Amino acid sequence: MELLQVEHLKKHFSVNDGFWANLFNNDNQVHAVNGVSFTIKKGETLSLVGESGCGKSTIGRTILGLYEPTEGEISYDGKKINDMSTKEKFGLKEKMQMIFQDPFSSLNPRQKVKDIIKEPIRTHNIVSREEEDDYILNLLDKVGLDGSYLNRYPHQFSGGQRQRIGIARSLSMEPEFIVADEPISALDVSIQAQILNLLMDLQDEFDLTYLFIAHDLSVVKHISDRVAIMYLGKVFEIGDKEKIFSNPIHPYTKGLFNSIPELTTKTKEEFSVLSGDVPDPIELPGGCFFHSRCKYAEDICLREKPELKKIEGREVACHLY
Amino acid sequence: MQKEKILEVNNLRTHFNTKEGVVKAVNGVSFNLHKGEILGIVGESGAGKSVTGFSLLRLIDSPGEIVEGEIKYKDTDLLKMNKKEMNKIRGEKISMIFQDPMASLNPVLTIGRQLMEVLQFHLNYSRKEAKNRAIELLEMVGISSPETRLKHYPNQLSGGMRQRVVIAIALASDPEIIIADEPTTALDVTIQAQIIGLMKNLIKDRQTSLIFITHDLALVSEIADRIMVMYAGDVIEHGRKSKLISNPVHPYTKGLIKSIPVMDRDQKRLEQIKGLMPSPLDLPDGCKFHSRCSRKSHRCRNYNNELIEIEKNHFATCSEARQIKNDLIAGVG
Repeated sequence: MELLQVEHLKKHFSVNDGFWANLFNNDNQVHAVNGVSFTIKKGETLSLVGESGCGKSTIGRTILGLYEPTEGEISYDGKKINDMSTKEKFGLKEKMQMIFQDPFSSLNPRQKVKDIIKEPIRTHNIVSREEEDDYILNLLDKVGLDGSYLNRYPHQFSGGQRQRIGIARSLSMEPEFIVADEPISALDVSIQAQILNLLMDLQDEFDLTYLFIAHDLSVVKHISDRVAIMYLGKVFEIGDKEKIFSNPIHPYTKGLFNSIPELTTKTKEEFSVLSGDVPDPIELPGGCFFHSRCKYAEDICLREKPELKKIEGREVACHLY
Repeated sequence: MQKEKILEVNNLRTHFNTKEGVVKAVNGVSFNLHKGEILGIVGESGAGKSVTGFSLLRLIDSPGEIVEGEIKYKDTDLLKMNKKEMNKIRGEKISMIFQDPMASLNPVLTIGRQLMEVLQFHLNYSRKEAKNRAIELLEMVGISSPETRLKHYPNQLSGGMRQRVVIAIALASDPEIIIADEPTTALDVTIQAQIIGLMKNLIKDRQTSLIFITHDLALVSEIADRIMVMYAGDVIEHGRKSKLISNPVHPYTKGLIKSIPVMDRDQKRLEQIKGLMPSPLDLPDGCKFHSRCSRKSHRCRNYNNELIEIEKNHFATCSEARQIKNDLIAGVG
């Protein structure tokens, strides 16, 4: 059953805001998300993958209501978030939580661990005041932190431990759905494995649904059930992890996969598969967004935007197929 | 086939005297670099890999200090040179590529000016010669319409282009050694592949030696000839790439390799190294890894972190390494 449904989501940001821009009618827009649809089933992990600027984080934040969508609908548990009352939206915040990328800026440096976790618990009345301390201790235990850390400040912890505090904070709401926005990219490799394992254990224990946002494909392959490859605010390929990783179809997916460094004993000879850079998101190119870097590009690619089509058990947006 | 040795580092120690105490960032690092060779230095943050790179060019500012060691560039010790001689080495014989191209380029000078500066300062080119050479260099690193680009400022270029310019500057004086400190960490993977491919081709053509400093073991395994793994200021394993990746000896290297998710291997859980790297202010006695090590013994606490030659050209510091070496000898004898 679908827990989350995103339909034709668009999110544009104004570059020039303010008096002069309005006066001269100068409304340059960054086209961060350009019509994205997908669903996530309960208990599933969907990963959004792509390079910086492809709109993956914007989608995560829009789903959680941190941004207002420019166009499109998001439904949670069959109900459109747009149609919900303020009270319902407040309740929804318990069910949907976020884990942020940077454990250094996402924790208030002037609050103790105890207070960091306590704040959302009190705001949402999760447990009574008497039970609070036990509840927090239990959470810390779940994320692998010692109870004696309660009265410490964030700067007294390492990056990995801080990320655990952030995870404990989002778990305190007993959520169903978690958006994890690059949760391990700020951490060292040996610590990354610890946090990934923790996220997977917690998913099993609490039956969590994850929207996992990442640029590191080997990590994505490890944690996801389904994967969506994004480029310039569009989904290029979406489907089961096994299908996409064993046989990528879209030329961008192929290029992306071939660019990933892999542990090897042989020296690699061929490096760059994709030439050029991602186009400017302010002035979007016509046709397929990828045509300037695609070696298979034909006339139609310059004119028409490809739509997602079912091919070999996944959906691909490319005129070649 | 032994190639000419152009850099020899012996027992390099760099410490930082902070208010909280002495941070022992680099604790006796020794290695050689041969002509045309790519040496990868790998480690997590705080391992001392960048400080090692900076020390080689004596770019350590107060409160940091190179307290001991020898850095021999073709038989002259860089640590004994005066300021003027050292400036001659920097940028002319040994150049450096930094992690963040936005921070290493001057934002208020055009890239042409920054490229030409190297040529005019180090090689005494005239303005005109320098300009022509700058255009050549930009072309070489794959920047289209180089003449217009010369007049651009760094903020007008994308991240990948900026790093190309930085590489052009590093190559401008045709150095013998390039030290690249996380040159692609700030870039996206498809751009990273472009830049790594470019660097590799350029240095192969000129037989330049490269010291490639990174946290990404997979990336370095794709280009390096030899790899040196650092942990808490020590070199803990050092050897030819193929051996080090296929038969790592030190438990930390083993753990590091296993904790990388591999694309074509299916695994439910990742192997993890428990715990954290010790604080450089308060390093434990003996092997610095022992508190995290799954195979520690009573010997580890007293181990002097000496590199042991396990096989020809493959070294590791581990009390277990002695055991492995003995096994090998016993096997052979």
